[in-house]
Amino acid sequence: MKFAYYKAKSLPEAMTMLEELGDKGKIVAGGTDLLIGIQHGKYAAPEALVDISFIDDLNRLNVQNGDGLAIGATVTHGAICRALNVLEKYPALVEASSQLGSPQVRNLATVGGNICNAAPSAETAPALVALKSMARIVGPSGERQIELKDFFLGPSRTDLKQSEILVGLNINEPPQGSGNAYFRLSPRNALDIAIVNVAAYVKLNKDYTFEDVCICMGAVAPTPLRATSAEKALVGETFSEKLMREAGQLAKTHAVPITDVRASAEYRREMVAVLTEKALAKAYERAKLNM
Amino acid sequence: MKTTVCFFLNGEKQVVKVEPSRTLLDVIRKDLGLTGTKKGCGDGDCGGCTVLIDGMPYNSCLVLIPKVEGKEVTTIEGLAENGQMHPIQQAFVNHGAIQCGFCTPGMIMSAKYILNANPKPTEKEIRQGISGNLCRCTGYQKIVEAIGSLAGKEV
Repeated sequence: MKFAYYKAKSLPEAMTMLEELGDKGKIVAGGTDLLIGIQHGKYAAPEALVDISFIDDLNRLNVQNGDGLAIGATVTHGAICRALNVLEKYPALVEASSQLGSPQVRNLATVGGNICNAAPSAETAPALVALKSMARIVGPSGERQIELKDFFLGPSRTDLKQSEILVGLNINEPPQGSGNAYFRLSPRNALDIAIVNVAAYVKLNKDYTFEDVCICMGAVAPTPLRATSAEKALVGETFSEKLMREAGQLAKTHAVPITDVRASAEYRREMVAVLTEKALAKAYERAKLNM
Repeated sequence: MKTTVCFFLNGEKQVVKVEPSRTLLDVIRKDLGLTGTKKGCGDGDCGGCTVLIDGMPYNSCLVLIPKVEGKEVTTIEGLAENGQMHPIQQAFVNHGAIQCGFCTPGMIMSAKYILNANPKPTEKEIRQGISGNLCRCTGYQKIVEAIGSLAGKEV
């Protein structure tokens, strides 16, 4: 493993470096995935890495009451876990970040890295999609925003173009009467990726019927996947265990998982239903406490 | 092209001229000769290479050396003082929390962070705190007991 390394001190500096390097350069933040990928030949060794993790603006986690949350791309999962008290409206995100890797990995691995790496099993992707995150991207032609759900194109493939940088994610503050939750299943509780992960967001009407529902599943398709038919089936309805089971069964119909060393496709499909039920029930419970 | 990196290792200033693609673990062990920090998997899975950077635990096999510029790195060699074992090291000895010993330096560095961040950790918090350190001898119970014995004590 040998490459040049440039530490960008500002976003304009990082942009200049990336434009000069063209396809010879690669962005690194925590590097927990990239370095291992280079060592094991999963990624072609770049000529140079541009480290964006020392750019102050990208390291910030801003929580504004009423305004929502702005997560800089290089905020680490450890920082998310330690900000538990200011992230009380975003439990799905904290639940996802706190189950990623290990304490040591979380201190290095960044939220932006987890997203740009675009692993189908990415820990935080379902939570961030369910919370309706917007991705903020800066490139040679300026800044643009897209919905995070449209950012993922396939395993290791994203909407990022040459020399573009994901600078952060913005999430509107979850309204009163809403709740969110994240569940994952893995052969081990630490240091392993999820075989299925599901995040749910629900917003209730005053009569406790579902007004808005967002369910996002991971590790069961090439990209994080919304269970749209389950979402639709819940709107206007009242919570019941039977209804949650039905939603789980509908979520299952969207899943197109693979069989690998961790789990079979059949098992993953069954577990999608179970985790969807659990995530919905937890999100509902939190929404009721927040009426 | 080599780069110059200046950082503090166990309180001592170090200036190294190295390839930027090398890891902190590699530089600590090969260039600076401190072999207490172990290389297990080299992939950030086993935690054998755990060191503290500015007081926080990291897998040093995943940290590119330029990232520690100006930072304080603490390894297992930085714990004993005046030939006296650190209380965490002593607790591991007292509780028989060492079998083959390979995971011990990393376990102790994780234990140091656990106890510094939370002087009275519960058993669950200890187990979560060492969840990034694998013990191939599977001697977790005694390790958890050793760390638990220090709850409320000065470390």
